[in-house]
Amino acid sequence: MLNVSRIWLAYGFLALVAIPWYWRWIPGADSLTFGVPSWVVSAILGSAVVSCYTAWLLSHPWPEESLEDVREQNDQ
Amino acid sequence: MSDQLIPFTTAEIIFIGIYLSSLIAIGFAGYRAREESSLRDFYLAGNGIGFVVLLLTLYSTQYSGNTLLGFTGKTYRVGFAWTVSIHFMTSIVVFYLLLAPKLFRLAKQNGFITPTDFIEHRFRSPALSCLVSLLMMVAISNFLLAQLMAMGNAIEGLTTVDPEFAYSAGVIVLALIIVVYETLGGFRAVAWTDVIQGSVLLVGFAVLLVLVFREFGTLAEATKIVQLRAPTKVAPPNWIASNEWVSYVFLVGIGGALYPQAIQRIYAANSATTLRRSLLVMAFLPLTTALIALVVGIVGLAYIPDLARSDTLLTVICRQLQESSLVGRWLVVVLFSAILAAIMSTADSVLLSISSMLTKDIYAKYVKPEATERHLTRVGKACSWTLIALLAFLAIRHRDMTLIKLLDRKFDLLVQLAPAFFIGLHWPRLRATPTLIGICTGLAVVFGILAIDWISEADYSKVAGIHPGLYGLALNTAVAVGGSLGRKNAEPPQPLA
Repeated sequence: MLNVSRIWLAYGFLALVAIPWYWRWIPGADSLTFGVPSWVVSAILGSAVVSCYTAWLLSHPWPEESLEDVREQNDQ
Repeated sequence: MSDQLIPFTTAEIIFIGIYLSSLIAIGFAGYRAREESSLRDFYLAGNGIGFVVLLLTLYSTQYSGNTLLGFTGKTYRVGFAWTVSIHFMTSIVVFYLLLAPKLFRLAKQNGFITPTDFIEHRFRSPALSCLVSLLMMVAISNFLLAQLMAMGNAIEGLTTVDPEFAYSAGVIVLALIIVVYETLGGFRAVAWTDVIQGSVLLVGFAVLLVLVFREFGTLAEATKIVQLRAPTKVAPPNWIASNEWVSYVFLVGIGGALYPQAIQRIYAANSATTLRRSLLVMAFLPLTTALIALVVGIVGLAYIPDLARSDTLLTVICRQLQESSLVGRWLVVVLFSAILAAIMSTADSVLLSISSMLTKDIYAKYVKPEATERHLTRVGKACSWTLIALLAFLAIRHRDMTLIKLLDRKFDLLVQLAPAFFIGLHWPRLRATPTLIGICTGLAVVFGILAIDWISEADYSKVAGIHPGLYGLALNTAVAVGGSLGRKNAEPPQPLA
């Protein structure tokens, strides 16, 4: 079972990093990386990490699910 | 520069016609596959749908005409700041994590059909249930209206006839096709057509990306041009724009997870495994759709400057592709089919959802409680026809709003339901009366801010970058939670399962 508070703390941290609020203080934020401004690359990568983390969570049993449900799903 | 497509040839129109006719044929197949004349069969396809159908119906419902037309247009207006669209589309799946597992189990245990069935089961308050239904219907009727307007805009440039006539005819004909296949096969037809529409949409996005790069040049070149011409559209967000970013993530994330048509797809999954696998794939789809819309918007901003209406960007790009070669012309036909697919698949889901709420939550409860399932199913179909006729009329008469404005207002309303669903699912002490008062308070805040925006010359559509809906939600949550804590002994807590 996964710890719910840790999950939402992790999302909070990911949001903090992925949302480019801090890039206006970083010199060269609009210099190009892969054809787009660096801050955009950071935001897209942040989104990709959130997607991977969400997918990983969805591959695990959710805390509310009882062992019986999990067994039922595995049988299917 | 023309913002009209080169009118389609007869062969191209026949191709589109075959595609649209196939939707009616699927509606008929859905009609043949029905198991019984019941609300559950009509609105949730009986025992539910499997992985591929669920994934593609979730995808094509979530990604609408706004994604292709509105998102490219918005990128054209604001530049790279619209990267936020990738974040907020991803956040919808994140908020599903709070909702889907528990709601799915409750829906299967208690035979829910509409989102309000959960509210009724959880709070046992007719007033709260009625308010939730009405609020959802109003919010997504707005969304349906946006889809109908997008249909008209899509058809407008296709023919050589008068644009106003083409727009009206587009709205009416496509709305008619939707309501026919929906009446025939209900949710089954909608989900099956979504499989075709979702597939066409995926192909369309891929085609769009390839064509844009081939026709205009690389993204790096486009970015450099935008950087020179409009440096603010390349710069990182300032504090107001950062607030707006956070606001979009919460507003669309929460609101999108609370779409009634999305909640009904949670109910319609045939197992928890199916639901989780579908959501798992959904988590990655913003990177293939919203990201492509962003890229197209930036390329358009670089190579097609000074557009009078940003929502026509995609049409202008298509026009240039049509002029480039015969292959370009046919790829535009595929792309146009994808645009229609995006719009129609969202519209049909929304229509079915409103019809289910009107029938089950309003008619069956307050007008004719003794009605049989067969009678209710017929009423549901009549509701769909009446509603689509009314909204088609509005779409034809009021077409001066941009798509993105309609998108914003819908979520401001829907997020007010977050305490009832998210907190209601996980906190047994949440009570009906404070939740009801909370929603009313949240709505009062939203409409108060919007009223100021409408009467004032200054722009209050967002205050300090935050959408009115989130201010309303903050107060709404405080009232619902605070009120529930203060009414410890007044109402017994309701069981969650």
